Amino acid sequence: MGSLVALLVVLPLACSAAALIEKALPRLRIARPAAVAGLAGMAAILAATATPLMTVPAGRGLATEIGSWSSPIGIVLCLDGMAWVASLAVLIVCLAALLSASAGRSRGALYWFFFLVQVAGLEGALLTRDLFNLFVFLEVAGIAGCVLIAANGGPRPLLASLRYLVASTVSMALYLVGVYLLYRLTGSLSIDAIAAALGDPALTGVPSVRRGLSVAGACLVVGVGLRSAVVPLHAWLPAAHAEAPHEVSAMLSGAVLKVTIVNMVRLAPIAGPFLPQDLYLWAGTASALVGVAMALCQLDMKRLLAWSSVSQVGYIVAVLALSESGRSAAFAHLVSHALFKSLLFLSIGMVVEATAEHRIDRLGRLAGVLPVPFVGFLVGAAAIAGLPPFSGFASKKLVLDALSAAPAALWICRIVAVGTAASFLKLSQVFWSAYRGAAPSVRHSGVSAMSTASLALLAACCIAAGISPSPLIGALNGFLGLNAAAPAVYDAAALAESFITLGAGAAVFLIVRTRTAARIARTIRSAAAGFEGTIGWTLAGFAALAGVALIIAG
Amino acid sequence: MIDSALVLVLLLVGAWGVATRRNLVKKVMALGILTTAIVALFVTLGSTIGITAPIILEGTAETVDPLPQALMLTAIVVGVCVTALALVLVERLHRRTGSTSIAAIERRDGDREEDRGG
Repeated sequence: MGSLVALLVVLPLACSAAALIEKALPRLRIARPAAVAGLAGMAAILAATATPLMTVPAGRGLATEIGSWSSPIGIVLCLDGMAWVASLAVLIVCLAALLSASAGRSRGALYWFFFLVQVAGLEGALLTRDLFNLFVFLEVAGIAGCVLIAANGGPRPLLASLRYLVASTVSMALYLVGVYLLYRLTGSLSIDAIAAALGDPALTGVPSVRRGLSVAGACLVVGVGLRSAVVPLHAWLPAAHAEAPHEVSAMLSGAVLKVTIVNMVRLAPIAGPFLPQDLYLWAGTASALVGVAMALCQLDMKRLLAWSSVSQVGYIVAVLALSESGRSAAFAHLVSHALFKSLLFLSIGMVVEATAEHRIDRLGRLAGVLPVPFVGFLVGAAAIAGLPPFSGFASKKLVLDALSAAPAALWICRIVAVGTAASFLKLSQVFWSAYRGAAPSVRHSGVSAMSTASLALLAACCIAAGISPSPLIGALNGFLGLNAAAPAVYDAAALAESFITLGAGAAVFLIVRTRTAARIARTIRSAAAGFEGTIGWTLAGFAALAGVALIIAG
Repeated sequence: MIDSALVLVLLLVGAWGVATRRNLVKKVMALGILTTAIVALFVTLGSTIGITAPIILEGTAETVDPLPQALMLTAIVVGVCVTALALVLVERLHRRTGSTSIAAIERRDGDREEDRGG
């Protein structure tokens, strides 16, 4: 069983090597089948490990030691329930991205090579229990991601990719400072060993040690938090996710963000002791608010989706550390968001490909011309707006229920939900609004069997998770090792709330359509941070967090 | 003491360079300085417990801690990959836009939100 866990990382790497063979022997055409084989193999491993994992308590799972060096010196890869759930979400998103990529312009061997390397890096980041190993896997996934973002060429994707690369390198440098401090103070790099050492009051009683641990905690949180795009470390995301090729956007929003959130959960026990109590709650709420406010102001379709990702990740992070039901709600929304956000990116991607146009105000009446993306968009938008019977309804209800422990944050998140509904009504205009300008020439509908299949896969998952959420949430709680029973999702209050939110969203949308609102939106849009703002906010955010942590440590 | 001070100076110089220099090539250089500072930090960490090379021969004692050095080999490789990728991106940007200044590129091709949507 243990070797299966290592195989989750080794298989995509081996397939990436196979994909590279196509560079030497172009007639062989082995790259895409290698990608399919890699994903299929990983799916088989997840299927095989599902039942054993359901019965294992939280934090324990199927472990394997790399190179037969045991902890605390060696590196342990552990497939626990959290990693299993996240791997499943990552796999579904990557499979849909693969189908979609196969439908578009033909991708070369190098594209599939980096695709598989990114999948391997993401899996490794989910499985590893060693701090430095986490750095390596995150960098692998990050570098592969940067190459994929710039895959289509053009100055905007190149700049967006460079921005992500520079920002993530700065944050990883801070992360390594944290690793240095933890190694110096506890003598170990393994997350479990450090957590055990932190439980020793003889160690944490010494003031200099406390100060070091507090700064280390801030370093770790900023390092992983930037890759999760938590405010104020989010500024790189809209450019990167909007300028990437469409299936890469789906993978970035749907898979990469999820992996880094799981890492935040894993690091919380060792980073947390000297950080403010409700850090995640307020950082998440701020992300949700900033994300939806900016999304509402966007005129570029993919930028709107990207800012909406910032907002939804805010929801997940806010409830992450609140309580047991919060943890369950966070993971439910994590999976749900992976599904509907990738569905949205792929649908809108098909629209962009067909019309060669990015802006909402230059498109209209596409519903009849592009029915397949329209249906895909409808499912995704209904899910993100929290309408039944889609997955977003269940996960949003769980998140809002978990937030009832913090009423102020709950009301802010309700307002954010209204904003989300409004921004997706705004985005839906491309399908029905009576745009009277020069009609964009729809070159070809850009819809093929593969791309339809990718949308169908994701839409089916959204609908299935929405129609019968309770058994799935029960299974999720089992994987996470939580004892909470699956709550009833379809109650009258939740249904009423979702329709009230939709109504309020429609009202906000009508306001946003006016000219004055458009001018205000333009001002807000230009306030977004550029390249240097990204770095500045990262360093400022770290300095603030480290300062607060030092004060708490005393 | 002096090592920590020097490493701190390197870290600050690297961070300042990445944050403030307008030229993309200088930003990549500053990234390199930042990575070097981290490597120096870890290597000096290892040397706090001893002074000789960590090779087990007859009569060796008080070796440095080998773990941080091993970690930094990996970190150096990662740094090389990142620098290589960053330079390729900068070169491509220069070829496409004729400039290595962020302001010029953003102004010309409108990466700013207002140009993309306004």
